[in-house]
Formats: sequence, C-alpha cells, structure tokens
Amino acid sequence: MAAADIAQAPPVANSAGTGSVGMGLYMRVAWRNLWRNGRRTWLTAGGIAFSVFLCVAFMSFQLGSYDGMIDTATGMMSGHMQVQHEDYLDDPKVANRIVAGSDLLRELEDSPDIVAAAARVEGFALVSVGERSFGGLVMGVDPVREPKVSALSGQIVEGEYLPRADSAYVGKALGTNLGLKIGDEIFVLGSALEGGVAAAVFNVDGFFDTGQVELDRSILQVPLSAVQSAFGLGDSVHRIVLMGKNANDATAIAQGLAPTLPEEVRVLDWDKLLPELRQMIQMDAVTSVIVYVLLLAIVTLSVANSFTMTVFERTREFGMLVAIGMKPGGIVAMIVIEALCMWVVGTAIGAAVSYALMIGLGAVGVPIAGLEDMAGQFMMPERIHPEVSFLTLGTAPVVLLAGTLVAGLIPALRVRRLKPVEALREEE
Amino acid sequence: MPLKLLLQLSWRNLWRHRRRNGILVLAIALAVTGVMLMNTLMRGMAAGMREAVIDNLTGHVKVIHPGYMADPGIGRGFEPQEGWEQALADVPVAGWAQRVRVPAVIMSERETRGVQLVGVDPAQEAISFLGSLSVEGEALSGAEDRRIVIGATLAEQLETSVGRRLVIMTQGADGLNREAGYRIAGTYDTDSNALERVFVFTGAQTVARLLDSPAVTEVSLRLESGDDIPLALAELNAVFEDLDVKAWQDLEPQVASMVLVADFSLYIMYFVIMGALVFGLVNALATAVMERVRELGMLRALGMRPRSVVAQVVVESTLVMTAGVVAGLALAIGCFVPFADGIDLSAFSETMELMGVRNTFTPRLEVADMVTVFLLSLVLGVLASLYPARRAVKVTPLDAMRR
Repeated sequence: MAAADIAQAPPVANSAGTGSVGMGLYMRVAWRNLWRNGRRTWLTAGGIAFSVFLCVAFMSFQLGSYDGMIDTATGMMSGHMQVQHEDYLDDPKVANRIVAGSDLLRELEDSPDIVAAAARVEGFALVSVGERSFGGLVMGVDPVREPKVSALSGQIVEGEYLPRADSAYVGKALGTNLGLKIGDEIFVLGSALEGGVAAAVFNVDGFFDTGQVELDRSILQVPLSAVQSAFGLGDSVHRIVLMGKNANDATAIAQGLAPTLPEEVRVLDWDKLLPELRQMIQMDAVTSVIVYVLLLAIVTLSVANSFTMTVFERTREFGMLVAIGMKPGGIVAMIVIEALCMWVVGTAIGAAVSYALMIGLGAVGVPIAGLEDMAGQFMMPERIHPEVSFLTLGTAPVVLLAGTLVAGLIPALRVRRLKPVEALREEE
Repeated sequence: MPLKLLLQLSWRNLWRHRRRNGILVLAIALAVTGVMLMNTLMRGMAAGMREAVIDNLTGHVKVIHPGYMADPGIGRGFEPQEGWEQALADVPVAGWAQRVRVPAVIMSERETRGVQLVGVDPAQEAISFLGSLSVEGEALSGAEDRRIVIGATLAEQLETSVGRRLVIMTQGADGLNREAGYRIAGTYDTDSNALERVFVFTGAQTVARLLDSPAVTEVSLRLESGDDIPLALAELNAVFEDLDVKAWQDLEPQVASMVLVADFSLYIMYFVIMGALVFGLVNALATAVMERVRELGMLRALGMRPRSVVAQVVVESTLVMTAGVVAGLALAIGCFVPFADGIDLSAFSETMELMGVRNTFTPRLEVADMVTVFLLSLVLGVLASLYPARRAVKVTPLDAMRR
C-alpha cells in the first residue's frame, strides 16, 4: 500500500533517478505521506494545537493581569514614581522632607516624560471628634493635582473631594469608628517638625471607601497647605508623586530624572515603592514557566513518539527508496519536512482559535467574578485584559517549531544506518 | 477471558514496542512529577498562610462581639462567664486565650504611631506567635505586668529602646480618651515587619485598668486539629449566645480563599498537562491496534469475544498509565525529600509577608493528593483507550484476511 502511494507520484521515480530532487517535490511527497495515516496526523497535530492554545491563552491572561495589577496598584496611591528625601522610604518621619517642594514640583511638571505630578505631606496624628479619637495618617494633598496621580479621590461615596481650604476627605471605616458625618468638625493632633505639637481643625466634606478596610480606617486627606502650616513644614513636602505615560517606562524615566534632582533627594520607581508587587509577579512567573515548559516538553515527546512509529513502519519503503537511488539524506529531509507540516497544521488550528479568542477578550476584558476579596488584597483590577503581543502569541508556536523539528529529526537519523537489502526483506 | 491471560497478552503487546511505550511512560512520568511538585508548592504555601494567620492571634476559632469587626474598641467588649471552658470538654482544644485588643496611639518624644494595644495573659499565649517570640530585653511576666513589649521595627520608628517610656492613648469604656506612660520591657522580632509595627503587648490587667473595664474583646482558641472547627463552633455558640463565634476562615477570608485556590489548582494543573498527554497516548494505542489488524482478525476468527478485544486495549492503556504514574510519583517523592524541611525564601520576603507566610517555606507532599492523581490517571487511561478499543472491535476476520 505504501509503495503504491509512492508509485502514484511519478516525479519521485523520475527525479530520484537523476539524483537531484527539487524542494517543491519534497514538500509534496512529505505532505502526502502525512495524510497516509490521517488519524495519527490529526492526533499529533491535535496535541500541538491543544498546547498552543493553552500556552497562548495562559500567557495572555497572565501578562495581561500583571499589567492590570501594576496599573491598579500604582494608580491607587503610589504613582509610577516618587521623588522623596533619600531617607523617607525607610524612615517616614516628618523631618525627612524635601525643602522648597513647590519649586521642584514645577520643575518636574515641565519635564516632557511626566504626564502628571502632585506633592504630598504626611504625618501621623491623632484624629479626634468630641471625646472619641483614633490614630491615622494625615495626608496633605493638592486638591487639583492629586486626582491626576491617585485613584483615591474617585473612591468617594459621600460628599465632595476637598472643596475648601479646611476640608477633610476621610476613610469610611475611620468615619464609622469616630461616628462622623458630613459637616462634622475634627481635630488633628500630631508631632510637628521641631518637636512641638501640630494641631489643626478640619471639616469633614467627603468619605471614601476603597474596599480595603485597613486603608479606609487609617487615612484622611486634607489640603496640602493646611498640613504644611500645622506641622511647621513651610514649603517642604514629603513626596512628589509622578505619573509617566506608562508604568513600564517608570524605571527609564526615573534614571533620566535622577541627575537633575537636588542633594539628599532621590527618585524611586514603583518597583522600589511597591517591592511586594514585583516579587509577587516574579513568583507567579516562575511557577507558570514550569507549567509551560512541562506542557511543551510533553507535546514534543508525543510528536517524537509519533515519528518513531512512522519511521519504524516505513522501513521497507525507505529501503526501496534507497535501493532505487535516493540518498539517505534526502529521506531525512523528507521526514523533517513532514514534521514541519505537522507543526503547521497543529499550530494553525491552535493559533487560529486562541488568537481570535485572545484578541476578542483583550478588547473587552474578562471580569474576575467571585474573587473580589482577593482582588482587593492582591491589587488586582476588576477586569483582566489578556495581553496580545508577540511574546504571548509567538512563544508557544516558536518553541514547538523547534521541538517538532528535533522530534522529527532524531528518529529520521536512524535512516542513515538503513541497509536496503535487509529493509526490503522486512515484513510489511 | 481470564484476567491473568488478558494481562499477559497486554503485557507482551506493550513489550513488543519498547521504544514507543518507553517514550509514553517517560512523558507520563514527567507530567505527573511536574504536577505533584507544583502541588507540593501550592500546598506548602496554603498551609504556611493558614498557620501564619492562626498564629497571628486569630487561632482556629475566635469569640468576638458582633459589632467588633466594624468598630473595634472596648465598647464592643464582653465578660465571659466563669468556667465557660468546661463546655468544651468534648472538643480537643490545644489552648485558649482571653485578650483585650483595642486601637491605640503610641507616642515617643519624637514620633507618633497608630497601633493595636493587646492586653494578654502570657501564660495563655502558648497558642499564638507570642508563645515562641524572640524578645530582646524581657518578656511580659504575667497578666499584671505593667510594662509593654513592642516590635523591633516600631521601636526603630519611634526612635526608642528597651527601658525607655512611651505614652499610649486610647478610648476607655466610657468613650473618653485615656492616656498613660509605660516602660518598654522588651522588643520582639518576627519574620513579619507588619506584625512588629502593629502589635503592642502588655498585661491584660494593665489594659483593664487603663480602660476602666474588666471586659475582654476576644477569646481565641487553638484546637488540636482544624477538623474539629465545626464541633467547637457548635459548642461555643451554645455558651456565648449573644456573641459571634467565628472560624478563622470567616475572620481571614482572603487566606481562606487562597487555601481553596490551592485545592483547585491541583485539578487545573492536572487536566492541562495530562490533556496534552492524552493525544499521544491515544495515538500510540490506536497505532498498536492498527498494526495488529491481522492478529486481531485471526483471534476473532478463532472465537475471541469483542469484549475481550476491548478489555485487552483498556488493560494496555491502564498498564502504560500506571507505569508512568508510579514512576512519576516516585520521582516526585525523590525530588521532594531534600526540600521537605523547608526552602529559604527570604529573597521574596515582602511578598511572603504580604501573603502572610514566613521566610522559610515548607512544601507539603500530601498522600491524599498522590492518591487523587493516581486514580484520576487510571480514569484517564481508560478514557483514552475508548477510541482505540472501538477501532479494534471493528476489525472483522474478513478485514484481516484481505490484508
């Protein structure tokens, strides 16, 4: 049966005689050989398609969720970058400040890479209303600039965001614990710069609810100048929060800014501001790489198995081809081309399905239902947009191309040891 | 056909194609090893998180006032009646502790911070991380100790040290502010900076005096085994009628959902990787059937039942699967043993802290999971043989003779 198929392809007989066989012919013969056992080809190609689909889908979701996590986490409070006193990150005390903050802020705003900038002053203080009091972080912010670098102003559930010079924007949980309502007066008491007492009075004009109780219980925002004067800070600030066009550019922009900064002041990218975010991504990436490697290794093994069977079954046919003058190298080339065709079929199916799905889902995003608790804790966005890039779509096909070629080549190399006479004598 | 003959036939058939079946067994073993090792990591992570939250003053079960979660303070305290613990006679309890835990502001000469002031009886705290704390200076001596123990990180932030005084400010039972000065007995150091920043400990009676209330805000219980939680909940609910009795899963839902994810991920991983493998398995079995058309036709002509033909293919598939799974499990155990005592993960400390896990990470290889993988593989082996077996049954003596 096998010999009959070959005989039906007259060019083989002709050109094999001359010893030079064209590439197009190899392709045609390899393609036909592949479909002599359609079931096997479909099963092997199906394995390739399955793993291409899974790898593409997993990688797109994974990288998409990283981008979403970074955007959500940096957009909440920290921004893409921050300019701080060099000791502030490790020791956030009032004295570790940037003197002449407003000049530096204006300079940074003029930098072409910076999309938005806002200065903050922070101090820990006792927040009291009537006889009740609670400890909290008092954050002095610029009511106009702050919404451009932080999502906190958008988490408003009641009232307005800092409409007046003595307004306070308070976490819902802190408000509940203190029994606050809109319009109430609160007293803020902390340690000022020179060791004295920092005291100020604010009016509660708005409440926010981020869904993270710890945050909602510990933060209140008030206008920048009020905190600066209460803490005796003058024009000093603690953080200048910066947003670039894209969180991924933060490191490069930060490097560019560093030499322009005054002494004792440094710029930190989100990598350093939120080290747990980078580590979480790295840890997740390491474990997923193990899965991808396993998946692709297993499919490669199954392709190798398929070709081992193929080559074994066709010993007699190969013997005949060699006997009528085909070089063993030509047979190896033919088998490798068969492997290539197998890859094309499998990858085409797997890629077609997964690319269509990922591009479609990438546009609309996938809501993560039922995991809101974790989403809050692990800084996940509400929707994941699968990332459609060369990396996510291309990795699995390229790796499998190499795997399939090796899987075809190794059994094919056995053909070089083929002895035509013995091979022809072999039972079909 | 007797089973022994069936096994013998299948075994010999497999042995006829050593290379092909060898590759299959290798692929299965690789897949199983990978799945199991990932699973030991997930399990270890989940167990680490669970242990950490249970240690961090949560315990397995906690009794609190219904309003405490939304408004933590002594106003949401309660007084457990004497001898309540006798209700737990039937529950294997490792220990319990009564605590007063209130938000407070702590002040040194230079800095001010928000903390949780926790009044404890050190004798009861063997059930929490307090029991095994490494303290620089002195630990608390008893419930009436009037000094405080604070985290090393907090001490740094407050620019203070052992032996100096700090002022603590909080709300009393009447809602009025109280403040008092306390001497630092010692500073404690844990894997988690977050813990060190938040918890300030002193004697339970000292807090009671400051707050002017004999009430406690929580009773925390540690059980001999997490399996007894439902029993403990039932018994405690009967004693503390007006209070909330909560399992750690309700108190720390994020950690509980991570533990669930670990349960789930075993199945996802398994089906993803084994799914890719099934294509290869079906392929090899179907090839083995098609190669034997003549042989199968002859057997049928001699009177072998279709049933036996099916059985033969199923047995072959199951044998390959079993060999692969056993090898894979053995390999997984081999890889696991060197790390059984824990892996140092301090490089990832911030994440581990975020997720509530300690720096040394102990993977866990659970027998139940190995059994699950084994049984799933047997099922998968049978499923994979269905298509090849159908092909084998279709072979008639006539087909075979035409060849």
